[in-house]
Amino acid sequence: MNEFEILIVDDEEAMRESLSAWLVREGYRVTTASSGPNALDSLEKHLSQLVLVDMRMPGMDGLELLREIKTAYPEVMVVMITAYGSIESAIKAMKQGASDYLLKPFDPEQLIVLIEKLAAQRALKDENQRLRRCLSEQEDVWMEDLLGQSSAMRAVFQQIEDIAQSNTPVFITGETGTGKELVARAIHLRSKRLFSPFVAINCGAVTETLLESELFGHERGAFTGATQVRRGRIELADTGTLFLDEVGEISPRMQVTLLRVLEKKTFFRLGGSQEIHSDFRLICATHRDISALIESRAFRRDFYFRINVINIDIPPLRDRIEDIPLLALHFLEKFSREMGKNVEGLSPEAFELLTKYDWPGNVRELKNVMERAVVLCKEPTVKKSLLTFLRPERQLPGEGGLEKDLIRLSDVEASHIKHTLGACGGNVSKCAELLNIDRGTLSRKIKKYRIKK
Amino acid sequence: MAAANIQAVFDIATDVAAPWPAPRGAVFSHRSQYNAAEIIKSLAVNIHGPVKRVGITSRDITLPFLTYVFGEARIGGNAAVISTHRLQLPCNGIIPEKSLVYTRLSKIAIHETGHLMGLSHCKSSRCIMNFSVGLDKLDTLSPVLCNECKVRLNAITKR
Repeated sequence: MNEFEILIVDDEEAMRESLSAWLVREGYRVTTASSGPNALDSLEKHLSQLVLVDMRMPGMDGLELLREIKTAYPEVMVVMITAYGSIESAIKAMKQGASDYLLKPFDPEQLIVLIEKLAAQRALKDENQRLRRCLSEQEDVWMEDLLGQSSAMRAVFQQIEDIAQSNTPVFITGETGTGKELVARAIHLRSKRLFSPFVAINCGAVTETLLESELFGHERGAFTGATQVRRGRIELADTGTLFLDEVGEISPRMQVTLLRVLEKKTFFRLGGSQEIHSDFRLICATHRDISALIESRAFRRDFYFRINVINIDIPPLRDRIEDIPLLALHFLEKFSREMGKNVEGLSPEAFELLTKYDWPGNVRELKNVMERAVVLCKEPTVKKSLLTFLRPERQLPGEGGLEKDLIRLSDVEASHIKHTLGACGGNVSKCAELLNIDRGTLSRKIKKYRIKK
Repeated sequence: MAAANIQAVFDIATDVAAPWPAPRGAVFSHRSQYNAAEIIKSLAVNIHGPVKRVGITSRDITLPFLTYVFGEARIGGNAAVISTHRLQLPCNGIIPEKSLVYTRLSKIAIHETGHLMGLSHCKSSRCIMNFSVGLDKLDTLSPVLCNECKVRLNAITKR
């Protein structure tokens, strides 16, 4: 039996009976009503997807019933059945939201084709809604960790909204664990490309040869072990979004190849001779200091200009302390629910400890700390004692105790860099040379320790 | 011929009854057509037990909302009606041979009997229970049930 349900509204019993029997034979579920009010009662009890309405009925006529149905149940489709003489009313009905009309008597084929068309439309609409629901759920899952009330994060959210609809390349920067992929996914899910794939690849996690094969795909026999044709990530991202994570790890040689692809949106599979076109939006991300990489010639300036059209810089967690309680409670609730535990909150001392900590691993680290806390917690509240492994990096004035007398390696390093940089008059290259470290590494450390040049 | 084909396809005993008068009031005077629903009602009178009655008329038949039908039956009903009127109309100026008209009649008889037995329309384009609009389509159908409809029929008759 077909799942499509039809309500027939006609004051003539013979018409109701024969049309109903005819549609039942077609495999549809059919109910009937002898008047407009009866039809509305029937819809209230059980919602049919399609209503076939006779235009001429005593009392509430077909047009009036159409208006009532469209007001109360806008998703229900209505087909008006009318005699040849009243074509004007049929046109009026179409203007008022009827899906179609049938002029009596009609060919058997006309009726079946029309109902099949409407049933297909309905199925498509339902499928569309289902997919949207699915996407929205998927979006919720992905976006739930991207939280923040701080002005810095609000600015990031606003930037996502502003740029999502365009096709412009986006360059996301931020320390490790700040949520660069979440931002990339948020842009994709808010763009016109949301129904197309979001294809991500971590460029730092694979060797150059493998990255080339991953990105461009390969033809059969392109190299030893290439036993079949494989589509690359660029090809898979067609009509969607390509996310290159850790783009700072790509070799200059590979950057040249990619630059050509980004400009022409065409490429060849490894070992292939056929040019392949792919329409993708590019989002890149890195936690590295790209300007330092450019200076050290590890990153090509032309490639950088091509990928860095819009820059989104995600602030580290230590720079948005006001978001820490919100995120902590969110993760606490999430893991508590997942593990079926009844952990409801954190003690004031635990909160204080979280806000004092420096969070070098950012939101990812906070998430892991909260997961650990929920696993170990035996009470409804997470106490400070469960978090003591977090050594507060940030000392509040007048605090210290035993820890006050301990000097951490990071403090020594920060102090030494500060001292040397001062001696070099703020010249980073000279300072790097003196310290015998890479200029990029030094720039990163200057940023990390927030040392003023 | 219709009776023989019904018997062959459904494996049920058939008999040919005496002519049946067309019911009064079954004619749509403004359309020169007969109301198939009214004819069925008349044929279904005084049927007892698992008997099914299939009427054959040379008149053009239809339903109040349709332009024409080749035949009409309700699912699980007791009576059906078939019209030979449109089965013998000339096509492109050629009058169909008697044998073709009989083949068409047999197919409609099997189709409508299928409805009386409880079958609805079938999506298979080869099955006799497929909804056929126009003689061209009717002529492409085989006068047999597809496997799926046979299984369905088996399930219905076992109930």
